[in-house]
Formats: sequence, C-alpha cells, structure tokens
Amino acid sequence: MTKLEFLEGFEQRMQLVAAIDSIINRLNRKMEFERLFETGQLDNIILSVLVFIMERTLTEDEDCTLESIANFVAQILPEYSLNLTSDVIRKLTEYIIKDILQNGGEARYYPVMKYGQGMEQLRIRLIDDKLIDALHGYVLNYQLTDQGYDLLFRTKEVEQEISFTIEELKLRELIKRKNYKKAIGQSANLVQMIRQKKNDMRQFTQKVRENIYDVNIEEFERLVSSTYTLLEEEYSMMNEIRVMIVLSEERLKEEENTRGALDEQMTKARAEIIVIRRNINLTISEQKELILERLSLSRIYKETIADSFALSRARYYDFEQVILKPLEMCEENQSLSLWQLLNPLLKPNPDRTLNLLTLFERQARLKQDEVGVQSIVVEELGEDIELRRIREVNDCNLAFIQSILEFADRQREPFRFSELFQELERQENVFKKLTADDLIFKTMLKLYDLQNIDIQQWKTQREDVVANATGELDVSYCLYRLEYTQPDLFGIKKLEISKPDEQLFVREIETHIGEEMFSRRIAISDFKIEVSFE
Amino acid sequence: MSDIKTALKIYRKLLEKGQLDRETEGDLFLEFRNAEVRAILAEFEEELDFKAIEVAGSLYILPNSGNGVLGFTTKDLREGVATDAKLVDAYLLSYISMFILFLFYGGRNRNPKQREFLRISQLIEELDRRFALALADREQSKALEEKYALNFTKIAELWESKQDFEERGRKTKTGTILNTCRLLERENLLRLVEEDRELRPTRKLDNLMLNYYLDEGRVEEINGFFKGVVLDAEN
Repeated sequence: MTKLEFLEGFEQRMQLVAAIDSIINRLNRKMEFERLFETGQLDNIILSVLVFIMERTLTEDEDCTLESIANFVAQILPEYSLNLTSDVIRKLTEYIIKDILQNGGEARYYPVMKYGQGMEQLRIRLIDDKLIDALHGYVLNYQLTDQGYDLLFRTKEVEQEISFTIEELKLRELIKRKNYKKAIGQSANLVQMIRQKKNDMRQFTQKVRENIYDVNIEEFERLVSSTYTLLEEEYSMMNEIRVMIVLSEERLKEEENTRGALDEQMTKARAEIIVIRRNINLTISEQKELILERLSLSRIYKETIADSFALSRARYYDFEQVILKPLEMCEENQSLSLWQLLNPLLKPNPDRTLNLLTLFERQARLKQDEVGVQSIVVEELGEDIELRRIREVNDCNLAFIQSILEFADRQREPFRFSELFQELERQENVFKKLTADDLIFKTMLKLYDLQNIDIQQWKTQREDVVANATGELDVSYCLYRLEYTQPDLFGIKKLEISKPDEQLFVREIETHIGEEMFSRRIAISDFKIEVSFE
Repeated sequence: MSDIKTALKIYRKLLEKGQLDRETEGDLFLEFRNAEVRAILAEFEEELDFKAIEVAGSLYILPNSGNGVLGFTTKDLREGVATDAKLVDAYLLSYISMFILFLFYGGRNRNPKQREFLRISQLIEELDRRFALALADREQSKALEEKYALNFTKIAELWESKQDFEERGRKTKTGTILNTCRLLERENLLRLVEEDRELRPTRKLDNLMLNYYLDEGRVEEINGFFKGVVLDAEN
C-alpha cells in the first residue's frame, strides 16, 4: 500500500466524477424532452438549474419551488434560441428536477474505488426537497445537498474555508484603500458564506433526522469543530472590520467638517460604507445564530443516535417474501381480513370503543360528588388536596380583588391599604379567609409589584383565559371570573398601586386553633391605591 | 399526579391522536419512561391488545393485527372506501396498500427504505407489471408450479379491466389507487402531493416501518396470519 499513497483519498476525486456522471449519463431519459435540445444544451441547463437552486437556497426567505425553477428555466431558454410554451417548460422543469436530479425518487449509486478497502457504492444526491404544509396544500421546496454544493463549488468557487479567510483579508485591505465599491460585493459575500454555513448545519440536522445512517461521526465532528474554530476567529475579525468602518466614517465626517461638504465621490463612498456596515452587522448576527444552531445540532445528533440505537440493531425481513408473495397466494376466504395486515399502522378509533376512558370519567364524577358528603370518610389523594388548596387560594384572591374594586367604587378617590383593611375587618367571613396564611398581605405585595392594573386594556386585549392551575395571583383570571357577576367591573378603567411614603401599617392578627389562640404581628407599607373611572 | 392517572392520560392522548410527540407534549412524553407508568401501560397493552412504541421523539399506539376493538374493522374499511365494496375490491385495496409499502420499504440495503417519493404513474406501471406476471402465469401450462392463487388472478383481471389511468373515476386505475392512498393519507401515513400525482411517506410511516413493522421478530406473526390463525373476517 506504501506505493499507492498518492491514491489516498482517491474516492474524493471520484465523488466529483460520480456527481457529473449523474447529470451527463442521466437515467430515466425522456426523448420527448431530450430531442428538443442540441448536444450538450440540456447539460448546460441542468447545471444552470443547480446554480439557481444554490442561489435561492443561500438567500434566506426565498422559496425554491418547482414554479420558481420553471420561471428561471423560461428566463434562460431564449439564450439557447428555444421558444417553448409554459406548459412544456413546466414539464421540462419537472423532468430536470424529478427524473434527472432526483432520479425519479430512487436512490442512485456510483461505484467508487476506495484503495485498500475495495469498491464502494457511493450514493449520489445533488438536491434535496422538503415538504412544507402551506396554505393551499403541500409545497415542495428544493435545496442543494452537500454533494450539490461540493459539485458547484468545485466548478467555480474556490475551496470554501480558504476563501472565507481570503475574503476577509481582501475586505480589510479594500476598506483601508477606500475601494468601497468592491468592498460591498465582498461584504455581501461574507453574509452569503455565513448563511451557507448555517445552511450546512440545517442540512446536516435534516440529514440526521431523516436517516442517521447517512451520517458519519467524522462528518459531524468536522462540521462542529470547524464551525467552532472558524467562528471564534471570524467573530473577532469581524468586529475589527466593523471598528475600521467606524474609523472610515469618522474620517469622512472630518472631511465633511473641514471642507464644508462632501464631493460627489465622497458622498457615494459614504452610501457604500453604510451598505458595508449593514452587511457586516448582518454577518455578525448571523454568526451568533450559527453558534446557537451548532449547539442545537449537537443535541439533535446525540438524541437521534440514542433513538436509533435500537434501529441499528434491528434486522428486517424481506417484504416481498414475507408479505407480498403470501398475499398473492392467499385464498378467497381470507380476502376480507387482509386489511388486518395494515392494522398496526392505522390510528385507533376511540369514538367507537372507548371503554376504559368512559370508566375513568365516571370515576372522576363520583369523586366530585363524594366531596360534599361529610358523613363518609373519603380517602383523599395528594393531588385532590392540592387541587382544593389551589381552588381556595384562587377564591380568596378573587374575593380580595373584588373587595378592592367595590371599595374603590364606593370611595371614588385614592385610598390607602389600611382603609381597605379596616373595611374588610368588618366582613368577618372574608376577612378570616384573607388573613389565613397572610394571603392578603402577600397578594397586596404582588399587586404593588404589578404597579397598575389596566382593566380597560384587559377588556380590549383579552386572550383565552384558562383556569388558574397554580394558585399564583392571576389578575386576568380574577377579572374574568368577576365579570360574571359584575359585567362592567364597576366602570373602573385603571388601578394604580404605589408607595408614596414610608408609612407602615401594623396589625396583630389572631388565629384560633381549637382552644388555643395564636397572635402574630404584621407590618407592611401602607400602599396607596388610585383609581380612574371610565 | 398518580402513576395510574399519568398512564391513563398517555393512553388517552394516544387514542385521540394515535401518537404523542416530545416536541409538543414533552412532560407527558417523558413520563412514558417512568418505570411505574410504563408498567401500567404494559398491562393496558396486554389486555387491550396493542403496543406502545417510542421512536425518534414520538410515542405511537399500534393495535395488533387482529385487534378489532382499537383497530380497523372491515366495516370501517367499507365506510372509508366504498359502501358497495366487494370482496375482490377489499383484496385489491389491501394488495395495493402493501405494494406501496413494498415499493418504499422493500429495499435489501441495511436501510430498507429505497425511495423518497413515488409517482402515481409509476405505481400504475409497477402494478401493471406485477399483475401481468400473474396473468401470464395463468396462460402457461398447468404443469408449471403454481405461483399465484386463483384469487389473485381474479384481482389481476379486475385491475386489467380498469380503464386508462388518465381518468380519475373510481373504476379507473388512478381512481382505485387514489382511493387507497386517501385512506392511508387519512391515517397520516402518506401524503399526496403535486396535485395528487406523487406519493410521499410521512415521518410517522418511516418511524413505524423502520422500527416496528419490518422487524424480523414479526415474521412469525405474519406467517401465522397467512395460515389463518388471525382470521377475524367477522369484524
């Protein structure tokens, strides 16, 4: 093998050949389209379509559907002195995408020699599609695979990672020399390149999700580590470039100040610097996103590996021998039960037979009824007790908010917490509930934290209210319930809770437990509550 | 929440949607891994004749082949496809469904999935070829070993008698295929795209086929089925 060292990595060279072969020696040829073109013309068009897909993929928020590709094909056909109807163009595009580039949906392989290991079947897939559930049904969106990018880059662009650094260096030099026009293109390239990295990440994630077997760990590690080092370097360099742009802007400003105005060339330079600045900022924010995506990629990769562990051990039967052939041999009396073969894949039909659940629901109702029966000792589960506690807290909070609104309605002027408290003391039942566990004080502090309750806004921006499941103070939930008994909510527009001074409100609270009496001293700021009416 | 309540909650979700996804119901999904909850669900599985399997962030409920309580019945099938469906239609529908699965997942590679999409026109061509073999077999001398049941040649004839695929009526090839595909689409197994000209498997179908349906361990069950062990034609 020592003699053949120069053949190390030979399969990488063949990968390019395999990719080109998939275009030139395309299978599934349809003569109705092929004969429309002279030798080589269709090859040119197919490659142009690939470049178009790359262009669309790299531009975010631009979908690459069969329609957009067909439009592109229509645009370039005149260059080949061809004039086809839109229907034919659409069919031709479909032929290029589905039959040639996607090989009619079937996997395409190319034998490649891996010296030392023998011939291997290399799967060739230049484009990938993604099904999107759009407004008017499913839409297919096309994008290049890694192999697709590899092919296109090798046909024109230089090796991506090297060019990235070179691009940056060039940009710095350009800015230094105030060659802004070129710099615009360079900075736009930077955005594109970082987006492509992002795209690589997304494609890799998709690949992992689709089939973990297509992914090898080296590829994953290479992608993650290269992205990481690249980003670390690039991130600081980008900032440096941004600083330089700021300097350039300052110089322009100085020039403007000394000369009074900028000449035409300098004004143009300024406009160009703005564009560069925007591109650089965009690149930096895209880089930040890339870092985040890298993290999520690692997570997804690990999870999928874990999930597919069982799969990798799985052994599959021969579908044709085990199912299809016996199906072809089956007797008439079995015909009606053949659908049972599909049963494991079909959704259950709960409306028809929901026996277990019905049982469950009845039990739940029974329990509710039993709560009110004092004479029977009902075994309460932990979650029932918790639910009851939450319900009680919710009721207390509701009573407190209601008291505030009622009191405000009567007062019609700002009042202090102490005044409200004295009023509540007169309503023994409510008062007892509110002071148990110091709920009134805790809720008051939370209200102070909120500072204001804009009831008018709540009325206009109301979202779906869900039963408060936590027992935490939820003003929206309280207002919603209050609205049942008081539809106008006392005509109150807004409540504002403030602490205008250091005045304290101190109270001894007494609790009776059996014969014993306990007392505790509470001190709280005497909050001020201001009310505005509609 | 008690374990039984959690198990019931998971069961309910599975009955409602057929699956429980980690992405949307993370907490409940993770409860499936709780040993106690899992044990309760295992008892449901045994008594109610289904399986709950976890694949790639989703939990699925799979009624066993003969499960007429949770699974499909012939009646459902008739209502779903055609009220006047005859025995031979039911056979053809089952065969086409299985043939679609075969074209997608019948590969001999380590990963048996052999295609990303399937055009309806291609499916018709493949079915034509398959049925033509059966018909040709019938023509040949009886001395040859019989490869097809008489029953199958009947559906091959039914297929052959259907009109050209350009038409979409129920009595045409395309109509028959679309009917079958729609049933599978309703079950979230396939998607009909490109104006009903192309079929794509869903993530659910991929998950179920690669992680359960094609498992070698099921061969015995399937063989048993064909031997008439799981005969449940009365459903």
